Amino acid sequence: MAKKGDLIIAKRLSQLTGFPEKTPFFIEFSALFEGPIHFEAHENLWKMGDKEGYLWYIHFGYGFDRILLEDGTKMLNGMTEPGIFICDENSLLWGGPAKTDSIMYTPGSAYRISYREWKNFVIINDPMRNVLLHINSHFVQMRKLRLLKMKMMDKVEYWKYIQERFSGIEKYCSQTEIARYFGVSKSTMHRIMKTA
Amino acid sequence: MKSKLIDLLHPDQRGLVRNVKLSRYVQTFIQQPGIFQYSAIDIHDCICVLVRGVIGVKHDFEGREAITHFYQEGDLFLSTEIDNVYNKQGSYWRIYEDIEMLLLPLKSDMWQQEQPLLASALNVQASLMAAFTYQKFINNLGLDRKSYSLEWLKANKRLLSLVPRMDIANYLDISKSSLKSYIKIAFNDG
Repeated sequence: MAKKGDLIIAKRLSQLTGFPEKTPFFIEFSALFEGPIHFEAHENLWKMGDKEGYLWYIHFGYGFDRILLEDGTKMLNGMTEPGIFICDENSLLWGGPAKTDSIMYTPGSAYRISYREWKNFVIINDPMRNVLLHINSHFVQMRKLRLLKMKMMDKVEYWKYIQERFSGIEKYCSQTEIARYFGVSKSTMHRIMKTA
Repeated sequence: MKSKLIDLLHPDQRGLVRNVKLSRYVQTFIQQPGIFQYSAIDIHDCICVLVRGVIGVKHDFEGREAITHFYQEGDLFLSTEIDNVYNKQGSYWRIYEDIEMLLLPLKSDMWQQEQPLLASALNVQASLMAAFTYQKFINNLGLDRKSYSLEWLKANKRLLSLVPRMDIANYLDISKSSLKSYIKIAFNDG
């Protein structure tokens, strides 16, 4: 359980929705999270095939979740960074074992809530359910922007932008992993990095 | 619509929809090719199923137009992506062929009052699905461009006669000249 008075989750929900931090259902929801859970670099938040799923809130630290693509290769799926809620979305939506894994590349700290507790809370809590759409819309915007940047942004500029977001990313991720994240070949990625 | 909603729900929740008569809550929308007309119907918080036709989802990226995906017959999708309240990327639906779609307004009073459990479950699943769908499109960009494009062209030959080449090339994230050569390869292979 979260420590008494620990409103880290409520604070983030407030930022995402514009509701006050002390909104009762935010506080109630925040109290359902366990943590803080501390991670060392290269530790997993979850692994592919995990049957017990959690929604994680990242307080600090950087990493990636990775997905197995149809062609059998692993792709960096989404960046794990402070302020983000992450999970194996497929399992949260439809149950079953995790289809992704998530690894911290730097030391970090996170809070978590089991899928079951999360679902029970949002299904019975009208106000929380109503703001869920708002919260998820924020993540839809983030994903849209990532997709559009992958397709449309100058790759050198995009690389600089990612370096700003995750300082030292090249020390933690292989060039192959980064190339996959950018949707380009390894040689193209090498050229992009050199140009930047 | 019912089978699509069953697929959207978590296996534990699927029983909720089996005995519901959806026709009481579902609206039908028809439009000819062009830009989707917001004024024609209230699209806020709807689950949509395309009965016929083709829609492309377009966005504005720093003044340039981009297309990220298409919807075709039988696809379930969510209006959140073009909802004005959340739409920072100027996303809109471009209709390429006459469409007929079914819409289930998740926030309708009648729906929420008469089917409270199903309404709650669908609300949650739909809002999760909205973000999850975009991750799938991101992952597609991680696949080898040539083999993905060839497979997509073979599976979507019909779209070649409906959608401008420029939009298809943009969707596949390849140049127009690559598209031209991939079309040749895809349809000369027999």
